[in-house]
Amino acid sequence: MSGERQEGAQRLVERTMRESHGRAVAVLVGQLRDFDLAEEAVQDAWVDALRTWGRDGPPDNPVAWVVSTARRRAIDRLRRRQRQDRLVNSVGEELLGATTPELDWVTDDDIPDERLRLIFTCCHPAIAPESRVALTLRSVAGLTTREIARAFATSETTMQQRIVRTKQRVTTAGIPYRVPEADELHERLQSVHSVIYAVFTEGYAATEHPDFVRVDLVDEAIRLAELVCSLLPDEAESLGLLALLLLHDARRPSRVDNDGSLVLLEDQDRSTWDHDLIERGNAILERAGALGRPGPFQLQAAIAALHSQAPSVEETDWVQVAALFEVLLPLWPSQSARIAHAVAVGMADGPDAGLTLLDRLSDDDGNARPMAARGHLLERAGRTKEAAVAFEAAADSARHSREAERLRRRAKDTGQLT
Amino acid sequence: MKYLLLLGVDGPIDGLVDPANSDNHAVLAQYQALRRDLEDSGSWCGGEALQPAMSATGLRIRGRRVVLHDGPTVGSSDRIVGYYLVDCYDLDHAIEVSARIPIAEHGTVEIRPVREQHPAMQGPAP
Repeated sequence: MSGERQEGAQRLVERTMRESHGRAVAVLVGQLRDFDLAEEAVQDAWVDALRTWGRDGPPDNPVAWVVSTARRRAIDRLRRRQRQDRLVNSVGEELLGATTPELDWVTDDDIPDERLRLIFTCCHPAIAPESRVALTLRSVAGLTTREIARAFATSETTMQQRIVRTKQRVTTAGIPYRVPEADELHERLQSVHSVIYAVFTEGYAATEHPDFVRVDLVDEAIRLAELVCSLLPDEAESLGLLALLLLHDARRPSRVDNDGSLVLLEDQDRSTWDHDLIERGNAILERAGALGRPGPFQLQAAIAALHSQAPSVEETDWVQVAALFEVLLPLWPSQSARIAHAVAVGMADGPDAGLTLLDRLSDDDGNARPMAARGHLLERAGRTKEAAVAFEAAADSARHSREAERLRRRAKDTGQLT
Repeated sequence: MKYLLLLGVDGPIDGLVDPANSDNHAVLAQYQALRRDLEDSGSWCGGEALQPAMSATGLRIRGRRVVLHDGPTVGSSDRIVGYYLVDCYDLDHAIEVSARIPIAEHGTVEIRPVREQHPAMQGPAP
């Protein structure tokens, strides 16, 4: 009996942690002005929750319970620090003073949502990009260090060090804990968007990980984008980002076949696409469009929407896709966007037009993608021998063994046509 | 919190302004305006332009002897041509101030937080 109860409590703690870790940390950072201490104290509170919720039954207001427990744990930690003659900041002194008022939050709804401040702090441009991603996943999303390390194919020790250093940097560099002023909000939001996008692409196109699609990171990215949209509902690009992630994620069921191999857009079984997600993505994109402030994420979402509407590759509105890429490229000059643009032009105006665009790209990065795109367009032009050579070359520089396998199969299939 | 803003140059110029530049009075006016604003807002704690790096003297104590070195000795310090010490609300404020320093247009401003109340730098107890 008690074992069952313990198990139920553990599940509740895990669920509350997933949903409310960021919220609790955000409140604590606001009170303590010490990122590291807030993180540690909330961590202590989850440990306490695991111990006591099974024994005494779960509290009525779990988040309020965690926040006040974490606050007490922070005071414990400050006392310990004081005994060790370490410096305690002025907020700490106040907390240690006898007059510290008890929290008057009774229900979870009384707790202010300060996660927006937390997100902007974690995604501050003065923090190195990979550290922003790690800190956001740790502090806002509440992933464990081990989970983050696994997701980024690095050791737990390395990730632990990176997160500890980043938290220290937030404190020592004086990175503010606030939502940026209106005049800098958009620039800072871009940094938040790129962190979320990086989490998504890492999950979506894993290079080293055996599972091609790492569902955890994809889900976390969508949750983060939803959070930003709920806290800043009138930001067109935040909505555009969320729409883009949902529209991409809608194709998840068809992206990997039974052997775990990556399936290209053209070969995907479109009947397995998640039409609820597509509808949601389209609705959000429409909301973004109504705000009248276009941007790169909205454009990419619009391209993804065109693909999701098309019953097949041939029936895709490639003219429109190519036109959207032409608007996107000056704003988002990435190599993969240039390659996708070339393919779209090849589909809209004939393979030669696309091949001309591919010729202009520098292929010095040893990436499989431009070669694979070339193979695809050469094949459409009926130049099957050259296409097979291009697919072979692409297979040689593929970063993932399954991708290489697929490209070699493609080269073989193409070669047999001659 | 206090920040030390280190003004570094990237090119061959060894000073706050390029002596070959005819537009120096405009640059100097920007420095003067920045100083005035920092003083008015109470952020100013200090700041100077430095003599060229070749005028630096390095000092080490080795075996109870003071050993001097001719020229810059601390890593990369030959690139530092001046500094500000400013009191800011947070890093964003320090970034805002640093972005107004003309040298940022061709060199670098390193924003270095000052460790406040460090026991090693505190005077004797009253």
